[in-house]
Amino acid sequence: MNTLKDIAKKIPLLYVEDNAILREKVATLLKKTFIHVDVAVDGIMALEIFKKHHYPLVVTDIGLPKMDGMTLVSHIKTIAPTTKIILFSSDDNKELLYKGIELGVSRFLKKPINAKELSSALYKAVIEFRHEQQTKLFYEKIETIFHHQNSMLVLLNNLEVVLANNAFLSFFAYESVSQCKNSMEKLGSCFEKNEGFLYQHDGEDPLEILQKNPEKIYNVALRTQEKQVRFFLVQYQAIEEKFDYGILSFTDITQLHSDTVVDGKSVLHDDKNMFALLEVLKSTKAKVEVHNFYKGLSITNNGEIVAINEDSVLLKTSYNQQKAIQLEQKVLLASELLPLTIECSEIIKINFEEQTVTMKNIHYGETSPITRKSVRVEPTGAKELALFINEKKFAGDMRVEDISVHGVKLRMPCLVAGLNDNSHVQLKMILDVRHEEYMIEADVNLYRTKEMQEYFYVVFLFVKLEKKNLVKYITKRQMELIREIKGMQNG
Amino acid sequence: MDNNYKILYEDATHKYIMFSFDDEEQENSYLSVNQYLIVSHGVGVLIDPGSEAIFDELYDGVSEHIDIEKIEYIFFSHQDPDVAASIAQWAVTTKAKFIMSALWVRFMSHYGFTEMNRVISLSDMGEKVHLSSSYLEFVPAHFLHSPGNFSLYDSQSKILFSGDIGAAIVTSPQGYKKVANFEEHKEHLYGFHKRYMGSNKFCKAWVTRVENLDIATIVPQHGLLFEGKDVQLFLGWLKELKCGSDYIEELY
Repeated sequence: MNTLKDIAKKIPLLYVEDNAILREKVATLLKKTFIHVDVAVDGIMALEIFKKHHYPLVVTDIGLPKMDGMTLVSHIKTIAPTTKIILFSSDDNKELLYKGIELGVSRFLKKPINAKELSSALYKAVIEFRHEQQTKLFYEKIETIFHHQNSMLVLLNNLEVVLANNAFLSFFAYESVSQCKNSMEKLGSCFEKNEGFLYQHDGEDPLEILQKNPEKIYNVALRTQEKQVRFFLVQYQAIEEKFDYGILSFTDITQLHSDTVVDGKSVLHDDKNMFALLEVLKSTKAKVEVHNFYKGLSITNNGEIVAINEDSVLLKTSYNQQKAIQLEQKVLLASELLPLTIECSEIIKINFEEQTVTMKNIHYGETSPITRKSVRVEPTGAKELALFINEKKFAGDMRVEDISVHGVKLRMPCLVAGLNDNSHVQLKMILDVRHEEYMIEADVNLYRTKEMQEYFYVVFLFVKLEKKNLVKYITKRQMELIREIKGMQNG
Repeated sequence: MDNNYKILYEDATHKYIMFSFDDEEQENSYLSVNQYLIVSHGVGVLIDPGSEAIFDELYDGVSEHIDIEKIEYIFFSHQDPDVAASIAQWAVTTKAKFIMSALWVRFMSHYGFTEMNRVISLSDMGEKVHLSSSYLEFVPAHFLHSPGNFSLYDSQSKILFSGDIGAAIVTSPQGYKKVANFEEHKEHLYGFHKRYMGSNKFCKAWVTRVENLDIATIVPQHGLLFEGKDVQLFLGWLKELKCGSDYIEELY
């Protein structure tokens, strides 16, 4: 009874019984739980009182003078359909039972009254009442918040559309929520197929993917009623303590997207487009990948754009990344939402306390080193380095710029005569790390050359190679570089 | 068991392989270790590849079943060295993404790994990843023993990789490493689980979660495999096991 008292004490209750002894007994019992208990002795009196107070809970006998219990129930349900009614009856008249169910009676209890059964029936009725009230409140609150948002929002229940706000409805020219629901009932299947976008394939509901990744922002395409394709950023947000519910927010980026797609090259110099996308990343708090390199080693962590001021950007990222930025004095930013990697080549301020970096000189990068498929490291210098082209040893000075398990970049003073894609080239070198030497021997193919002011870069890909030594070298060198960075960080 | 591997499941498009490479220098002082590889429709998923010491052997072993370049995912059940210390080596030699609990991502640089954009971090409640016609489910197994810990269920082979759960201190048998007699095996399970697992509450929660899966075999990271009726016997045993904080008075 204590638990019932906790949840029910503030709920007003009307009790109707014509038998004075029983009325007194049950009313006393009810008053131990409910603060507000009103009593009526016949049907007419009960209805009059009810009309004034609209009780959420009514306990009544079925056989009453002046107006029988069933007629009273019928009147009450017409006035207040959500009122919970517990009905006492002294017989098992099935017809009355069916009629009661039809009228919406919550519980039937057979006389004589059993205190335990009454408590249990009251408990269930109160729980139902409170749940309905909370749901009503929740919907009212959601609806109010929803319609006052400028962003386009859709409320989902078990991943089905239950509500869309005015901004969403007017964007898609829907006259009502029900029209929108009819048209987009399975919202995930409405996402258009588009490379790199979220859409339904391989039996996976895109809404499930959104729900599983609430921090991630996805690109989606939807058609308007006029069949025009529009592009959006979409993100899912779960609602606390309402696990079945979530909100999808849509940001229209059709303009930005078409600028990028129509002419992939022109976007390189389109600062307006770039800053507009950075604004989108900022306002949606989307994660960006922050990249730096230290002697060939890639260091990446997540970051967030927290402010944009004219030509500078304030980035928040991890301490390790801040140190890497401090060493390199530039930074690369990447995101699925960006058409190209953004390079920031002027570091204005690094605030370690607030974990922020202020950057300027921001532009799209023409090439993106972050798409590297394998780990590269810069060696300290090869102890021995020999190149045989068509079995003839190259005599000039060379050095290894960087190396991965797939290839090696050499710095050479000149291009070797006769070196082409078909040349039979062999490479022998001894690389050392932490006083251990690694012999690397490989057959290589020329991949590309690049002329610099006073030297050439020549990249070879490994064709035949005993990988083990090279893997050992790269991982040890990688570890050494990490120690170097950490040493500098601590120093 | 040939050449340190055993094929646990195979059909036209899907294969589940167990390797058993131990660090020979350490063989007297620690548990025998199993590594696993799933190859599904030509895509490889490597499970708990282990320490730096066994990298070369495992690399060669895996290469016999799939082109290393085709390993797309490498899963670490948790952060321990016998699970994840070779992450830098695998990062150098593959293009794979690394799947692990979000709790351990930042610690990976201690193993020489710096490319956090190659990590798929799992939230506490786990994930389900769809393959062509089946799925992989990363099942929460927190505090059993690591605070951020996952098992991996493969719906095609019906094999549940349980990580440290089910580990046993046993002399590694020749041939197929499966439990021969569960009643006798219990004593080998008990010592490890009593000290390494968080509490009976976590054991119960994990068993309740995996009981909904159709499991043919449970494959732990250490020790022997549970097959057929032993699956249920093991789950029943674990559900009732007192361990970890249930014996707090022995520790403080």
